[in-house]
Amino acid sequence: MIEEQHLPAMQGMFPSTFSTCSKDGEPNTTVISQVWYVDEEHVALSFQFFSKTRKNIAENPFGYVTITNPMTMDMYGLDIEFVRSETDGDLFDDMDMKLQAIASMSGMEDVFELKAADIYKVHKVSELPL
Amino acid sequence: MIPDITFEVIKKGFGHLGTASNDKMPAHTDTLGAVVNDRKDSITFFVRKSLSEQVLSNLQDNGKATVFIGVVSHEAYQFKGQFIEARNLTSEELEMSEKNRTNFIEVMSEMGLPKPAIERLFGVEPDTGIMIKINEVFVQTPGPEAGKRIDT
Repeated sequence: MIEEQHLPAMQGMFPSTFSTCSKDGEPNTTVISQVWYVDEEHVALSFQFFSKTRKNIAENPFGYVTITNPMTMDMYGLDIEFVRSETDGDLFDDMDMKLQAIASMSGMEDVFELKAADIYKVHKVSELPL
Repeated sequence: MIPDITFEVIKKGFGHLGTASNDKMPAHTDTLGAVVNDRKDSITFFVRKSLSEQVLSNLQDNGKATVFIGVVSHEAYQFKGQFIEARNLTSEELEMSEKNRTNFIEVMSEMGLPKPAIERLFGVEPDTGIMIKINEVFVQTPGPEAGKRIDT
């Protein structure tokens, strides 16, 4: 599912776009700083403050996220499904450290806060035809 | 009415137009510029059709649209509304998009990303305008106001 060619798009150098849908069919789209590689079938997304996204995911676990390789602009669309949230452990600590670095670089130290590492199963990866 | 406070971000921002299928599977596409209509109740977003097939299909099915637009300063807004039409872009709109895309390319080059790569996305002109009647606008700038609805 997730292959080596996709990994450069998961380094947090280029923002990712994440769309969800409520139980009533209302879409919501937001930008997230990074999609994290967990294993060949799972990714993690940082839960910071996008409450509508979290509400939608609680109602309907399916999402669509696009990731971009910043060196080539190759873009991939991932069909994903929420599995669980983690609030401690190595993955959470790594994501928290990286998020603070991004926040520091963009002057958002007091705003960015990692509340959880949300784990999603990847159902499909598609390359977008640039 | 689309709030005046959002106009600069609409004009200069980089956007993402989100939709969902009738079985509630979301999809989105990047926007390459946008223009507010004279009545200030609708926005036409410029997209590449080849990158927007699922989005256009979803819009034809149920018409529900949401658009996140932000600028480098992190100021961002979310617009929610109803699909009106998809059409070809005018020469004026293509000119607006070119200015926008040239700016994106410069900003991203300054951030250290390779220009030939950036031009693969932003160097190609859009070919379709997606017009959305805006019903709701929300603040998306990170911080305590994020998610707050703005009166329209």
